[in-house]
Amino acid sequence: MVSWFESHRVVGPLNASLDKYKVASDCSYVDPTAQLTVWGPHDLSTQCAVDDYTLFRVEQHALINKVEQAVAAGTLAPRAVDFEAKFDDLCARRTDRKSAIESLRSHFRSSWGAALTLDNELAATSVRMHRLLEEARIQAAVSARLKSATSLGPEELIEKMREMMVERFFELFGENGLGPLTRRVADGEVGRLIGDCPVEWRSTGAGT
Amino acid sequence: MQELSDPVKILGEILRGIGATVTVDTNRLSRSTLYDFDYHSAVIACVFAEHATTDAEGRKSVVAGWLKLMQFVAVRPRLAKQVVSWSANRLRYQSMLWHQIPRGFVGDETHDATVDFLIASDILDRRQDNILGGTRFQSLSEMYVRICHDNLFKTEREVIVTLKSIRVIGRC
Repeated sequence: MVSWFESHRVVGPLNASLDKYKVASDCSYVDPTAQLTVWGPHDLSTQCAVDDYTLFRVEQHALINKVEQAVAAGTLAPRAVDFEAKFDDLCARRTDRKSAIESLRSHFRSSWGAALTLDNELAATSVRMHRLLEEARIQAAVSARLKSATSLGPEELIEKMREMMVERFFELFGENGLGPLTRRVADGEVGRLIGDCPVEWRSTGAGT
Repeated sequence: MQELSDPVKILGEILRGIGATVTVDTNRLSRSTLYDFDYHSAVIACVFAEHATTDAEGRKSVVAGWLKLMQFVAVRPRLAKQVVSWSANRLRYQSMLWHQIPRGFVGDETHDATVDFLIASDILDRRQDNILGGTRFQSLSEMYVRICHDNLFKTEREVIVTLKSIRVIGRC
């Protein structure tokens, strides 16, 4: 256990609880003389490798809070001409589904905003994680590029891109690392690929 | 607007419904400049121009850790305010303000690699905790002149000037 703060607010109750449990216990599996070992910052810095990645893991909840706040506040990605044009194209071609398409536009734009928040936070706090995320995005696009040469339909292609991002988020942050945000941010990465141009569904020549 | 149970699936269905062909152009992938050697070299040129001191031998010099922190903040302008705030009070309230340090800069390997390359090219030199101008430092100075002339990297240069308000105490 490491206590960084010069206060017994955390350590005191833990010691009191340990004494209380030892009295109540038969001590079959615990030595009655066992004590808590408390490390100070110097012990931590000399005995452990504390790098930005370690700190990132400790503070992952703060990162998640920021992304959740961005989602709650409706943080949007900057308006991208191609992003809007692609959804305008869908509206024009499926006038009967206009409402659903507008909902999709809104969802992907706000999810892209959440993905950008995650991106910015990682760029400031863990460059290594940021770089891995960037590589994951590129891999998802390259993989989709290869799959687009097969007989996969648009549904499967976009789904595969999202699933690949979800898998990489699991690898980077752990299975439950981002919790319910995982799918939202993965959708945001799909939104980014639509807005940043690699993903195209308009007629030939559009957006080039 | 309606709630979407699975937006990716709905988008796929709509695309299939119109018979759209989805293509992925990997040439249009936008890569982050955060890992770009030329960009980092340009920012280092700007930091040297604004923050370098001249040593007894007349060589430009910047504390290595300070150079690394400044270039890190310069390319992430939103961090500048909290870094200035941290530095203003760091001596009195160091333990309370640690969270304001953009500690991600410690793991910024792109900067390290850029500095290593510039040192190998004799553009920069390293002495203890300092990075100094090398025998070919002129090329970095000329890059800075060109950046100013073409009004490039305006935001980064503004941040670098803002960071002048911070007093360097040997190392950061």
